[in-house]
Amino acid sequence: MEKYKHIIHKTGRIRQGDIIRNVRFHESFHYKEGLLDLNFIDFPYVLVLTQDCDLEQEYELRTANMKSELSEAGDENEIYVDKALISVLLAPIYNYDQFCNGDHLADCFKQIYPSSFRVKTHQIARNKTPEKDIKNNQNPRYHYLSLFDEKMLSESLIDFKHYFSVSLMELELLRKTNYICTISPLYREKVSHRFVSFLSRIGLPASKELTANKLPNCPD
Amino acid sequence: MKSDVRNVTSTGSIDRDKLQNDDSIDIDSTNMNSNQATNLYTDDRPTQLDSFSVVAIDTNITESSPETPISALTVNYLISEFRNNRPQREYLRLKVSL
Repeated sequence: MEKYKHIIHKTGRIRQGDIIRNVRFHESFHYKEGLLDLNFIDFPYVLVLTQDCDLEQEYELRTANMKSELSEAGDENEIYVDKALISVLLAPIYNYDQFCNGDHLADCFKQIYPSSFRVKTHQIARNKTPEKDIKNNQNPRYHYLSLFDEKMLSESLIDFKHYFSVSLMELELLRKTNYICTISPLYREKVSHRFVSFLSRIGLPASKELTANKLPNCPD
Repeated sequence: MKSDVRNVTSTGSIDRDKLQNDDSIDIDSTNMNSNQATNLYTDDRPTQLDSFSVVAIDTNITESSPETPISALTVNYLISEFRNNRPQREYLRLKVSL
């Protein structure tokens, strides 16, 4: 179990590895007969997964470079937006205790099911092999996150099955007030590498015998 | 954390100039306070409902959590917030006129 270092960046640019609080995922947006239905999921903490060089190039495009290009554009009035981004990829950060207790998603999915059902995930038994695997980042689906400075973020976890995007402009505005810190480059690359590895896994047909014998507290 | 969305009473276009300003903030990790961490939905936050004019808000909405007092956003608050808060699904129904 390793502890991650963090950095506090003073500039307003979004960076890979930024931890930002209270980020809203706009789930759906329907208009019908004068009524607008909006569905959101509010995530207490998220981690920015988008590549930092993409974010940097995009920022440069909109700031210093854009100003110089505009001044040099002359009569043609052309600006090249090849490096512009549409959105930023984020992963929710869950509280590790809530995750182990199986209730970290309780408020997120309970509206979908009848109120008589208690929405939960499988509990993870502490100090048993599945939990140790998660804490040592040996379960490819999860990334255990623990900072040296626990004031910044207590024990937490990223579930690589959960990710979403938000508008870059929205997130830049939000960063001004809701930025917590940035995990340092070496560690953020580790998260990023494990994320893409999980995302690009090849799904093979499950063996019936294996599925039948699978332990409930061994999520994949 | 979220309930102030219901205070939306007017809409407008996004101010691009405001977005391009690099208004840096200096967060001291040992002394985080309400100046650096505020609620998500502040009054100056541009709404995304550019093409709609909100004429009334349906108040028949389930409350999820009380609004976080800004003055309470100390480091200890942030720790406790992360320990206690979970992702929340929110639903809003707005009466609008096009």
